[in-house]
Amino acid sequence: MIEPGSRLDRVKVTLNGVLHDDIVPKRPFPLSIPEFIIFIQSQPSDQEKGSEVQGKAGEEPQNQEICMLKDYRELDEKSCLNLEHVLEKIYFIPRVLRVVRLETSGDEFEWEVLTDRGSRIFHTRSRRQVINMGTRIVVIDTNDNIYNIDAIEKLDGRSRMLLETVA
Amino acid sequence: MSLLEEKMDKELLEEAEKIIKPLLRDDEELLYQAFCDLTEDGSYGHRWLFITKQRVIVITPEKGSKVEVDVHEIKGAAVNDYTGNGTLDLITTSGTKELIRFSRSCTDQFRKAMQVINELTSDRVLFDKDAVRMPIADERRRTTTLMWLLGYLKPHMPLALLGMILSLAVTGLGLIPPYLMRTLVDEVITKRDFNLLPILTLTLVSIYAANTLISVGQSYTLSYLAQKIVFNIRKQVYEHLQRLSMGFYDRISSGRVLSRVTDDVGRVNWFLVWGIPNLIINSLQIIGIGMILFTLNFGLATFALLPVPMIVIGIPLFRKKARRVYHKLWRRWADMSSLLVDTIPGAIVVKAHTQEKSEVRRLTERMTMVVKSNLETTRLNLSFFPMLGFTASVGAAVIWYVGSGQVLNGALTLGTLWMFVSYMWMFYGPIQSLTTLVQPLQEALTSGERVLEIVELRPDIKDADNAVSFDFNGDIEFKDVSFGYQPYIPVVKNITLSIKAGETIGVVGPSGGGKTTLTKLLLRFYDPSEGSVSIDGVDIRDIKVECLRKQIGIVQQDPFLFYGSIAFNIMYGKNDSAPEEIIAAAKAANAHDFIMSSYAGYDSHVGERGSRISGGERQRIAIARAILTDPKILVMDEATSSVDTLTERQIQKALDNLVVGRTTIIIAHRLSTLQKADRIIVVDKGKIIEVGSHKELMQTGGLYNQLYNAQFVEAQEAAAPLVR
Repeated sequence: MIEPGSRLDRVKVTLNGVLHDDIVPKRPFPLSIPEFIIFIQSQPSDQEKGSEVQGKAGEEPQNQEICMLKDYRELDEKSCLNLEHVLEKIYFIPRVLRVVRLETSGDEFEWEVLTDRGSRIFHTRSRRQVINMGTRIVVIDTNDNIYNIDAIEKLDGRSRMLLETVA
Repeated sequence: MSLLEEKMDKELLEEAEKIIKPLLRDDEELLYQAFCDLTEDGSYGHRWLFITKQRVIVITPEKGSKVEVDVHEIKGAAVNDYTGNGTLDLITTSGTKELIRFSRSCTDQFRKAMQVINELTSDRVLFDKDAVRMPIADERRRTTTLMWLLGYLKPHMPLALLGMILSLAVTGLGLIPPYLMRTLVDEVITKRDFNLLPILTLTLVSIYAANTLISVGQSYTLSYLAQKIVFNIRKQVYEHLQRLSMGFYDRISSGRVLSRVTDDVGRVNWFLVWGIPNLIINSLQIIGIGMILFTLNFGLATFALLPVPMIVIGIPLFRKKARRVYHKLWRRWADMSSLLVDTIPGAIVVKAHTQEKSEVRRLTERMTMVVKSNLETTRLNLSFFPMLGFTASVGAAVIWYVGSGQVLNGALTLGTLWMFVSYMWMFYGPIQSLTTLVQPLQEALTSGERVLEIVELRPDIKDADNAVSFDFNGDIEFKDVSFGYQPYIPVVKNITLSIKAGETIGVVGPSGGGKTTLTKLLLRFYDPSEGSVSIDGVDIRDIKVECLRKQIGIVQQDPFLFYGSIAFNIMYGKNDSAPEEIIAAAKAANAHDFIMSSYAGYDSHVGERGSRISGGERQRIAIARAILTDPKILVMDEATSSVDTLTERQIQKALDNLVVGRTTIIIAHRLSTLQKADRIIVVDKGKIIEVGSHKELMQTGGLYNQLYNAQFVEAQEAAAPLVR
């Protein structure tokens, strides 16, 4: 079972009857398999720890993983909603509803899109930042922001035509 | 080997047989023969070397003279490599003497001869005496480019026939309007019969409309056909490239290979889309219109044939020259592409060494050569085509002159003359087209030859007919293995080494000693020239290549990552991996944490050749890739030499996970990384000179001891200022 945690980006996970607090849900494959979740016991930040630095010099901090979930959608409805609420905080990947404009400027493409979070203008540098995943297209802009274009066939004709020039 | 070389090979063998047969004694067997092209004083000339069990004979065919040395007097042989030539020396009981001199074209033969003599004099019979022919690295089938390209039409014959029928229809319809024009001039205008005018006009419009529709159908059909064919060619070429062995990739730069797959196949595409259809249509038009012209007026038609002799004689001459010139152009173009493929990905090296200006100079030189070649082809074309066009124009002028005379004296109607001239230009049109087609056809055939060259190469490394697949235990044996990247210049010599399953072996030694070559032999990127490599008692030449390589994991010093996500690169050797398997492999490689901290986790793109991540991260992804395939045998070729010590520690932890339960071969310059090896092999100049544990080798005081102490002293000297 998954419940909201003490922070907006944390959850509580009850696993085999044991409650784990302060858990960060992470998507190892946020673009290709968004339903696959790893639950990680969060480490206190350096501020929270004070001046002490954990771990040996040169080693990356070891996160303690509680469990992995292949498909979180198989959880009960309430757990799903709690989890999605937190995932939305951690993974900001707007859904593109319409491609308004797509122009070339030098070696960059300038995009103007309407997303489920509002309008947005961004730039991509090469066709390789537009990743065609079959039924979905993922666009990564020059600042590594990610935009999801799923259900391409549901887009309007002009949006599809513009996308065809780059994908 | 080209056809010419194969023909020479046969002629030489026949010549050799004629020379040696009378000289052989009854009990004497010819073991080896070699042909050289230099005389003792350095002039070009013929010499033959024959080796039997009893004698070594050198014969000068022109003079019929011979030099003979009894095998019992010979202690050995040696080849001396000089610039542009070499010599084969005999080491005899009375000293060393130069036996024969040869240009570098014959080096391989005489290296083999040296081997034969050395084996004779040491009683080791390892050479293949049946292999008296000159060695051919890659077999090639004989075929012509055109026949090969046309072979692709076979599976699409119905579509090709449809295209042909539509082309014939277009040609036929195109011949009707001049006839209608004759009727318009002679009947309507001259005889003022305006009743025919609407019918004529309507018929003309209908023919043009039909022609347009059929042309559209024809163009689409032929384009569709060509795209299908080009798809098949590209796919075949790429599939074939994947089958070719590492020897091919060592010989030909990736730029040249890319040029053949992209540019050359593109030109073949043109040939199939435009070249062949235009060739067919123009040829049909020439035949059809030619028949009409001669039927209309035999006398006038002969004037129309004025440019034909020039075409018939000129085109073959042009083709011969064009072939040479276009081949040169494509070679120069490939040189330029090759440079770009090297320097653009290597921009960091260029900039680090401030060689930007030098690289611009290098590219300018190559571009200049391309420009020169292009101008040469332009000059060649200008030497032929304008003259052809002028001849056609003169022919037309003559026809107007003679025809007008015939109209004026009533032998010919104006309408007929008009029709004749229309057909005449229709006749010249295809002739001009055909001649302008020659150049791009030539380009396309040249490109086709270059593509075919690759397709016809047979891989050096392929599965034996009875090759087996099985799960390895991990026992490895090198038995008397010798190998050289160039024939008879061995890089490893008589290596004998047994490794038990699960053992960790360290391999050390000076650079160029042959360490990496051993791993390449194990992976069967090359076959040894002598000896064998076995796994679990089975010669790897009898194991299916796929089975062999799937069970050997390799982590290289500079791991290659493909453009794609981290997940794509980790699961490269095992495409059907589940997400949790990928994660498990990354964890074992100590890579999971840095991957999860990247902007899109395992879906993050690594950039071109992994440029978006650090060297240590690339290395750990490569280790994860090796772990995921769960190989029984693991080869680590200086896997930590290009990273700092702290990163090396992280990688070492990953490697510690990786080696458990696997037979592991670790090649390392940093001897500190071999502390946990069960045994250490020291390789120098292609031979194993020491074997033992770290402790044993330190006690021996040999090369390992020296290398270790040198590194230890370096480390101490580096640390000394801190100790004070």
